[in-house]
Amino acid sequence: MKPLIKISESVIKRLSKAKEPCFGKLAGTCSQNTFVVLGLHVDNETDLFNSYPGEVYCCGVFQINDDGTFDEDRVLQSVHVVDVTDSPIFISCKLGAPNEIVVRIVSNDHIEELEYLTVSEQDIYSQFVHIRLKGEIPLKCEVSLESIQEAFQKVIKTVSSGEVVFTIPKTNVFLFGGANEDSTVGIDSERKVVDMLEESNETVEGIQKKKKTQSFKLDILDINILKRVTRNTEDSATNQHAPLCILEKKAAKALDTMLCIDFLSVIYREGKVANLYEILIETTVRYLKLYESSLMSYFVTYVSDIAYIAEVSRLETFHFYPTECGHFLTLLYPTSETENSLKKQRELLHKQLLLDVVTPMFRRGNRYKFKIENPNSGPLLNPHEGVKPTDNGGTIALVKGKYEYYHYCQNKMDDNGWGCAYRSLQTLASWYKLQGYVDREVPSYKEIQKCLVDIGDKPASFIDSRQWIGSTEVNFVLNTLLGITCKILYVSSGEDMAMKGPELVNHFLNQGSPIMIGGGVLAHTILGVDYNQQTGDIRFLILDPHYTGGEDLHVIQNKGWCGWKTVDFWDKSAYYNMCLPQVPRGV
Amino acid sequence: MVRSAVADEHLLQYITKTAKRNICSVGLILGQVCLGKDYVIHFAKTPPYQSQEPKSITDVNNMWVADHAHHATRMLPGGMFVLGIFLISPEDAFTQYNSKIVSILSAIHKALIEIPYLHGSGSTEKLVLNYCSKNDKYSAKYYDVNTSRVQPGDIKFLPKGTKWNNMECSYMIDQLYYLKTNEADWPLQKHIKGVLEDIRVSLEKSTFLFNGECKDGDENLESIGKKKVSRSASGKSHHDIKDTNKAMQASIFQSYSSGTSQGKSCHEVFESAGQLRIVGQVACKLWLQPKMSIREASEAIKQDIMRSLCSRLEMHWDSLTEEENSEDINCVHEPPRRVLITLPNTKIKISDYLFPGEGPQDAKAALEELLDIKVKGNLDIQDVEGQADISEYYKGTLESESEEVLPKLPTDANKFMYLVGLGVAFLVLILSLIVHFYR
Repeated sequence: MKPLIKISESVIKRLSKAKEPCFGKLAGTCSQNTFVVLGLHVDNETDLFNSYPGEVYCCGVFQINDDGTFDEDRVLQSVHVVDVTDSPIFISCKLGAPNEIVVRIVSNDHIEELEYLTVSEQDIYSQFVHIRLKGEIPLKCEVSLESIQEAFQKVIKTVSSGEVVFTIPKTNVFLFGGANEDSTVGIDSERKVVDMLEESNETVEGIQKKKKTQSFKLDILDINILKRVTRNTEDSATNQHAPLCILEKKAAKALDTMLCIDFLSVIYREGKVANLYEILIETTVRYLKLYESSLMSYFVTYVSDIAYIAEVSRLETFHFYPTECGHFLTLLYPTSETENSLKKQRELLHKQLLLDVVTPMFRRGNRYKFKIENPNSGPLLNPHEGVKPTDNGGTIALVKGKYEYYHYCQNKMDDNGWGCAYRSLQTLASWYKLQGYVDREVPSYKEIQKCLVDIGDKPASFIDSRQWIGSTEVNFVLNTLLGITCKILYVSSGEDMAMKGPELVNHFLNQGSPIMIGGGVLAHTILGVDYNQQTGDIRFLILDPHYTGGEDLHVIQNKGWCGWKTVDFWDKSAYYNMCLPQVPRGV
Repeated sequence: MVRSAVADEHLLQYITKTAKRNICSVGLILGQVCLGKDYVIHFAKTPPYQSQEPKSITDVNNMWVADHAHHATRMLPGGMFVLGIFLISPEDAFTQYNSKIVSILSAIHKALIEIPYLHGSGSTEKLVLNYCSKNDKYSAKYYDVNTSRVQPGDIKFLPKGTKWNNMECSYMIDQLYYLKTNEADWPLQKHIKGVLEDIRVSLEKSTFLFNGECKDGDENLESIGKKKVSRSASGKSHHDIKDTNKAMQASIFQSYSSGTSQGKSCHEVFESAGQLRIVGQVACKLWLQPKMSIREASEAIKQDIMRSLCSRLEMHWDSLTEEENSEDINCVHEPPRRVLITLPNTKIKISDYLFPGEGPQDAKAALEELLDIKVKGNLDIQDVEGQADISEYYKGTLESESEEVLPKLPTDANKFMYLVGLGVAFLVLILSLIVHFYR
């Protein structure tokens, strides 16, 4: 039977956009004769596989060149690294306009062309659950390459030895390893992984209503790692004895740290719970290897100064989910490194993943926001996703990436009637934060007012007042606090907004940041346009900061606080200023 | 409702026997509290202070009794405490010696709360049993050690033995510590205190399973093994059949995570002067009332581990000389190990701690002195933890080390050899001096 090959849309997109010849690896999952190719990266010194979620393995190779031919021997040689299947995939891509993609399968040293399916992210992840594994394991060793390696080997050995247990937080579900026949508690081992998700959702929340309006989201199941510290007294243990204290005096530099495991794994929904333990162990081990190699890479060059080592070995874990990749990628950055000092590394990574190098995707600010980190009280993310679509039939250009919806009466502040421009400004600032361009929190009212006083735009009495601000002030604040410049557009009447179609389309296509617009006494945020060149008709995707209710997406979308508006939305008798925040180029 | 205590009948015989031998005695009541009721497992007369039996209750040395309570607590498994004291006197002690009773109880309480890891204090309401030898009558009262409030009490001696659930586990320790340069000259005792605290904290954050079941904290021990109508109708039901003789297995799962930590928690790089490794098992065997809640049972296991570690380490420090405690050399410390001894007429086992080289004879002596238990013939002890082959660990340290010689710490067993060695060395010195001067 011929295998079924599904290739993620984002992989196809990246391959077709590629401009330079290269050779690299395909990452994906495979089960029961079905391959799902989730990602790809170009071969270089850094092996990326430990950054992919657990259960994503190397499943083949790809090649991009000018003529689409390939060296059979080289392909056969390179697929040797694939150990997850006997019939790895080989994708060749011929540069041209457009690039030509051919998928082949290698089996028994024979290369054969094969049909494939291009699948969307949504289709892929409707079959999978992401497990987010968390736990802490202490690591203590001397500061030397050998000692660190040894310590990691020891930790990996402990993890694989069956001493580790997994549990879903706030439930009675435990997963045990080993030959023990009662390998699960709280759930039958014959049940499916997706049942565990339900089990955890039952206890975590009961308020998941109106799921329909939500656009596609990833299912993430939290699992914690525990360590068994008791031995069954019935097991005849070897070499057991009463506690001893062994004191060894020896001067050395010591590293004493807690490895905060935080890693993801992609699991088939229909998979059996019984198989989960082994998968989770492998996931843990993959994280440990990622940690070790990251630690080593920052370590090698400097090994003398103790304060420096302490700084550079303090690693933080970041999960990224760039839409252009369509899968998670986990990276560890030392807290001491600035975004600037990591720039080279990011550039390499972008190139390795065949991504453009003008939009940041792996800055700390770009990290994936898990629901847990964004509790119900916080502002909503991208409330425009899932609004009623427009019917204008024109070119639709929307804000790119993520932003937070700021509006009246949030964080118990009554700014009804005067705060709309502040809120719009905060939405703009959140976009820069979440896109990773700036490394600062969204400015508060006080910070905004103080900034305007500091630059001499307002008198000192402005602080803590309830005075409005307009587009000029928004521009000043963005420039001073975030270092962002804005292009200002002006219309003398709301009617003239109809003329701004091409400029706005251009802004969203090339910049992609949300626009603040002020006119009369009102301020709004523009998130997108739908401009029909033939008819000249235009629609604006508006985010209204005057909303005073709670963070209820259903109300916001259905009552028009976020939605498409015609040009009549604008007041004919008022003039409007628009702040079009410009976006820096680079990663 | 009057607070009450129950005890097995044979324990009353002990009191009457003791009353026949002495005009006046004070001793400890040992046992467990469950659902506000005291379950007495043993009475232990306090040994005579400076070989003098008290002639009157007023003669009793408070500190001596407190010290007895401290030592007796070391021998108790987790969940068992010094519940109070008994007094044998010719007259009614409650009317005659009320203030004396209060002062003894408060001395005991103070002594026990001073050592938090021993978990000796238990409930603040202490049982006091008075046996009046003039009329062979006994009565009980409860004294609150915090408020000195006295409440009526009741004690019943029952012919049928009290039922106990047996619980066991083996707690594994393997921890490594790097010592900072400024901490290097701390005595070992101070380092170990830090280790004990770490163990306490991680036990606090642990999850407990009993016979592989995860139960709600409010359920009681009897619910274990009685499965609810389980969703899983899988055929694995062999341990549903309850075997009352078989000990329940407790398993402990530790999470290091504090839940909210953002991965920045502890991270240090420092100059270290050496390392300390603690490795071995603590064997736990507990006897718990079947009605005890899962939460309390988990608590009792934690207490047992901490009490056992704390007791053996206390004994170890006491056995060390000043130099040994702060020695600047590599060495392996071998604190005494736990052995279990069955309490006569019961299934309950209590602990004693034996240094390397000690044997049943030593345990027998401790039993007689601290619990007033006289055993004829050989004492049966259960060596539950096992003695380490220390040479293995010396080998370990030697391998990673230079050719440095690691002197073995003198223990009771090899002290003799140590002295002989010293003697021989001294002799050689004298001889060489003689040779040197009289040549």
